[in-house]
Amino acid sequence: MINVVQTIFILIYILTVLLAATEMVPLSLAALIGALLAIWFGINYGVFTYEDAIKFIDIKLIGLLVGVMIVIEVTERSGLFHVAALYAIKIARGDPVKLFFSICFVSAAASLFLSDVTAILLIAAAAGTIARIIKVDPSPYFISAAIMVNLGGTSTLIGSVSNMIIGMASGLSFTDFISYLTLGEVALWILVSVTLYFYYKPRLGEKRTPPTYNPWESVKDRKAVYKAFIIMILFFTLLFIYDRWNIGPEAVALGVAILALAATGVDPAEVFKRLDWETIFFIGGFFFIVGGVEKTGLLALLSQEIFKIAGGSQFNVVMLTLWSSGLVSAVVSNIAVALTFTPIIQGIKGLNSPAVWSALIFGTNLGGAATPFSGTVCIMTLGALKHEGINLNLADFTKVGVLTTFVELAFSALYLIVRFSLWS
Amino acid sequence: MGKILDYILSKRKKSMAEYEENKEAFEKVMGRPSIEISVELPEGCEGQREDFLNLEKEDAFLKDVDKLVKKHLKKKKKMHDKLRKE
Repeated sequence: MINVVQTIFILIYILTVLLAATEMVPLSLAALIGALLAIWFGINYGVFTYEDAIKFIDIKLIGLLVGVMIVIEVTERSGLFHVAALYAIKIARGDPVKLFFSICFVSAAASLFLSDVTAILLIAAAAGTIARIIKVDPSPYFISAAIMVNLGGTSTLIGSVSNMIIGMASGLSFTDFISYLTLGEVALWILVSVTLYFYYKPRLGEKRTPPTYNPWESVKDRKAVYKAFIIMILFFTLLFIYDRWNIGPEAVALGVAILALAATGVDPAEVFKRLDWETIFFIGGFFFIVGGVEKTGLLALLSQEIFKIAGGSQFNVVMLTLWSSGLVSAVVSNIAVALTFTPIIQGIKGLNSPAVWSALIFGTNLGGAATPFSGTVCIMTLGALKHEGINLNLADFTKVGVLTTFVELAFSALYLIVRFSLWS
Repeated sequence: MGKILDYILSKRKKSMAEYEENKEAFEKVMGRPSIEISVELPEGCEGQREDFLNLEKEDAFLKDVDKLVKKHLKKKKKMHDKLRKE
C-alpha cells in the first residue's frame, strides 16, 4: 500500500511532467519547481537529509553534457555540418528519390553529432531551400528528416541526452554502446528510410535540373572546418579508448572541449551563451524529484512489481522495458523517462543486464517521433513547415509517426532477441 | 490541436530564428545570389528625400539598376578574358 509521503512524491512527479509536457512554464522551470517541492517535503517529512539531496545530482553526467555541448557548438560554428548538408543535396543531382534517401541518411548522421533540435533546424533549412528551387513538396522531406533525426544517434553514448543518462547510470562505455547497438541502428536506418520512401513515393515529385553550386561557398574559413573535423576525429578516437585509462567519458568530453576552445580561438563566452542550459537545468531539477521518489521506496516497489510481472525472465524484462519506455517516450520527454527508468532497472537485481539497458536505450530514443507532440524535433519540423507556408494536418504526421515508431520498436525487439540470445 | 502547436511555437521563436538563419545561408549558396548595397541621398537632391526613399519600390528604377549590373558584369568579363589571353 502506498503511504502519504509516497503519494506526495507521486503528485510532485506528475505535476512536473504535466508542466513540462504542456509547456505552461519552460521545461527547466517545471523541473526546478518540482525539485523545490521534492526537497522541501523530503527534508520536512524525514525522507532524506540535506546532504542526501546534494548527492542526488550526478555531477559526472552534467560534466559529460556540458563537455559534449561545447565540442559540438565549437565544431558547428565552423560550418562543417552546413558543408555536409550541401554535399548531401548536391549528390542527388535533382533526382527526388536520391534526394530523399540522401536527406534521410544525412539527417540520421547529423544527429550522431548534433543535438536533435540543431540537426533538424539545419536539415529542414537545407531541404526547404532545395525543395523550393526544384519545386517539390517539402513535407515528405521534412517529416522524414524529423523521424531520421530522432532515430540517429541511438547507438552512441553521446548520441542523445537520454543515452548519456543511461550510459552513466548503467556504466556502459562508448564501445559497449557500439558493440550492443550499432548493428541494430544501421539496420533501422535502412528499414525506416525504405518504409518512409514507400509511404511518400507518390509525393516526391519529378526529376528537375539541380542548381550548380560549390558547398564550400557556405564557409568563411576553410581552416576552421578542417580544425573542426580534426576535433571530431580526436573526440571519437578518445571515446573509443578512454576506458583503458580508468577515466570516465565526462573527462574526455571536458578535455576535448577545452582543447577545442583553445585550438579554434572561438570566444568561450559566446560558446557558453549558446549551450542548452534549458536541458541542463531540467536534468538538474529532475535529479531531485527522481532521487526523492527513490528514497520513498517507490521505485524499489516498482522494480519488485516488474520482476513479478516478468516472472524473473530476462526476455520478459527486456520486452517490458522496450515497449513501456518506447510508448511512454511518445508522450513524456525521453529525458524524464530515462531518469525515471534507470533507478527502476538498477533495482531489478540480477536482471539489470546489457540487454535490459539496450532495450531502454532503444525505447527512450525511438518513442520520440510518434506524434507531433512527442518531442521538440517534431514541433520544430511543423514550425519549419509553417514557415514554408504549409499547415500540415497533425493527423498526417501522427499516421506516419505511429507507423515508423511501431516498425522501429518491433524491429528493435527482434534485434535484441537475436543480439542477446534471449530465446535461450 | 493547431492552437496548441501555435502556442508551443510562439515559445520557440529563438529556434525558428535559427531555422531562418540556416535557410538564408543555404539560399546564398544554392539559390540565385544577391547583394545588398546602401545608397546615400546624393548631394544637391536634399529636397527630394521622399522621392529618393520611394526608389526602392519603383520598377523602372530597379530595371535600370539591373541593366547597370549587367553592364558592369559584361565589362568585368571582357577584362578577365583580355587578361587571360595576355
